[in-house]
Amino acid sequence: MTTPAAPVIVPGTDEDIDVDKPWQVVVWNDPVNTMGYVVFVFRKLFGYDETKATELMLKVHYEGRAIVSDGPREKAEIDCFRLHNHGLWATLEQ
Amino acid sequence: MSHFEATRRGIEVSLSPEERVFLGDVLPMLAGIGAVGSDPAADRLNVPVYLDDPEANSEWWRLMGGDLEAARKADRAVLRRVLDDPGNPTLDDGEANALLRVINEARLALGARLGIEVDADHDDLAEDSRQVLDYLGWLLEELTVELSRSL
Repeated sequence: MTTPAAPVIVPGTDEDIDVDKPWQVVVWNDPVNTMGYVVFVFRKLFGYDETKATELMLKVHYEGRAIVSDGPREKAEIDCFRLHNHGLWATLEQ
Repeated sequence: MSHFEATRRGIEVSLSPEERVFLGDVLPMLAGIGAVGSDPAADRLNVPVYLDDPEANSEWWRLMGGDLEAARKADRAVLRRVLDDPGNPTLDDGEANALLRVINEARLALGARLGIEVDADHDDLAEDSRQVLDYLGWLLEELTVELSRSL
């Protein structure tokens, strides 16, 4: 997991624009994907150990969704592609 | 006995003649998946990436959709090669992962066409439909276990 970058303050505006706020990759629960397969995909794609991957899988299963990775938009979009390529439903949000 | 056995050369696949016939039917089913909006299988395999931003979602699919479809076709080609091999083919890591993905793709497509939307829907399936999903799930779990050994 990456560390969120410090916010960038743009002078002369009324709002703090957090241009570097990381994007989050969310995996949603699915009634067909098996638990073992989802754990395998999390381990393979993100290098998580079995404990971490299982925690994330259970969070997806019982809470409906879990954030599985984050980072700059380009990285998050590629993570999303890799998850879709493995049949997991992943979305992006900031 | 598992259908997949790790050897020094890779993962050896053992399928009975009946299993080969069944899996041979999976390939035209996947190749025949229709358009998003007209086929539940297509809807499941092409889910939105940006839920609240249709423009960003369209852009993601414009940039990534072609690569995703090409990757899926490459995975299906591995299953084709496995079925065309009259013996017990041995797959390298990339091929075995491709086979895993295409088995999962078949389960997702079938599950969507059978109307499975929540876990409990499995209980309402006709016996033959449940057996098909369970068989593919069995293969999936066996191969997942084998591939997990090398993570």
